[in-house]
Amino acid sequence: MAKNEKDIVRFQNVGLRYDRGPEILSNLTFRLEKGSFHFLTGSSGAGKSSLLKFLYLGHEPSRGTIHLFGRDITTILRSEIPFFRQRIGVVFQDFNLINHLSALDNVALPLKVAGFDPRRARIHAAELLSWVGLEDHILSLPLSLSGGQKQRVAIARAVIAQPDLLLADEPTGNVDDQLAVKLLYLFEELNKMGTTVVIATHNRYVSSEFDHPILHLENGRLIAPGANKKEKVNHDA
Amino acid sequence: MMLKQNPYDIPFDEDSASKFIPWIIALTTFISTIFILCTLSLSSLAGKWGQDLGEHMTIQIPTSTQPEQDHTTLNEILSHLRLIPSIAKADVMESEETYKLLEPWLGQNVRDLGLPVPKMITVQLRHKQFIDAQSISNDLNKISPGITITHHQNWHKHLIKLISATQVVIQIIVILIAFAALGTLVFTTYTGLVVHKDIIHTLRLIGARAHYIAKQFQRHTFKLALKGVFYNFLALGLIFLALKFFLGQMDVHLPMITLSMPLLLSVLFLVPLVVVIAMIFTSRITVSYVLHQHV
Repeated sequence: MAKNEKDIVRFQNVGLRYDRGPEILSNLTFRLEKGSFHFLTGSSGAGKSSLLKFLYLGHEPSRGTIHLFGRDITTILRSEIPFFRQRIGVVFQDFNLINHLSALDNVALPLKVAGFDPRRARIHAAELLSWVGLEDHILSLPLSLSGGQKQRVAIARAVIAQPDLLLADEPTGNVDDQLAVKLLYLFEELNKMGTTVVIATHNRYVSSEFDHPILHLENGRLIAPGANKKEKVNHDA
Repeated sequence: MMLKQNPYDIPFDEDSASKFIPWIIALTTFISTIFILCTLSLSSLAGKWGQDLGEHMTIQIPTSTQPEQDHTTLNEILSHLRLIPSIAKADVMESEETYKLLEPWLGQNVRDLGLPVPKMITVQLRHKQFIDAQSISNDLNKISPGITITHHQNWHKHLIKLISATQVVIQIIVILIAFAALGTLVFTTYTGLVVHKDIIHTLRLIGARAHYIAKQFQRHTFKLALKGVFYNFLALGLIFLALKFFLGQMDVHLPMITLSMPLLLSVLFLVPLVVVIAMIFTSRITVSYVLHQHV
């Protein structure tokens, strides 16, 4: 895997359909440069989560090609997928926290699965939980946390391994606008350290507060650029 | 940091199917140990009997109505036997001794029945010497027709065959039990993968390799296997004590005692070890196989 590739992600005429159903995503063509920060917007059901799923190798396209870290994802061997995923941090819409593990152990997971010393992983996880304001809930189980707290645990888990690509599916969905903006500043900090960030959100307030390019989906298609001041997204289609 | 760490990312405690695994392991280990000890004891007993009985034979000489002639024949036979190099000793059995042998079948008044009780010669062979019983029988029958030779090696051979057949049956049973136990473990592990599929899916999305998840299942199986082995030792201890007590009261010795202590200890510890290793590998291979099939 080449670490210095310029484009972290490159989509070329990508389409997605399940079985013989209609295309959920059609003709997606764009690329994301290393170190960029994008909002992925669109109404509910526009295909934001499906697009993110491509990015964490959750499924393969029905047509077109996707390059991730310089590799066509259809050529990635099954045994290689975990190593690709270790370079990607994901904040899932429903958090996907493991309920019998404490917030600390949930956050430490990405480092543990990557083979880090579990003790050091937990120390680092504790620091991150403090960073997201959950220092008093380190040993709390997810079921005892509020939606916003779970979200912050999920964010801490997504960023702990300093991923090359950070994907967040509605990371501000369960918090008020003020906290949403605060969380996005956390993502920006990470972005400044070189991580490519894609935030899927339907919260226009949040996306308008930040000066980042927008990928806007409507009925499974990317709508023409120009939605933002800085144009980093290349729409070849 | 003094924080208690959860050893498993997967909540195995919630998995009711795996709760039976220690009992399955205990049963497998227990039965395998007992069967292997029985097989070894049978071999050991057969060897011991072979050594004792194979070096003896009995010659039966029918009596006639002329005691003097019988006496001459007996002497001739003894002289002939003592010339054979592989025979260490040949002695005529006392009449009283012969009657004692007949008592269980003919009753205590066997002496008064006036039966023509045959003369018996017990022959002791030299250690590990081959003897052609048929040839000796032919020679002796030339001296006096009707002489029969009972060489215990013949029925010892049959006993060995019987023991070998029993051993094969026992080995097949042990193998079948082992396969049944491993099959159950495969099924339980697969059930565990299905029960915890959401967590496993999350771990996979975080970047966990099949190896990482398999290791967790392996550790869990190891824990269960240790529990099973403990139950096995408990059951074995109780059975041995009970057998020793009841057989002791009947003045019978445990056949296992014929095994040497190092061999006995090796079986007691090697069988659980092999079972535990087989279990953890089966669990690991099952998880790895299933996860490689479904990314």
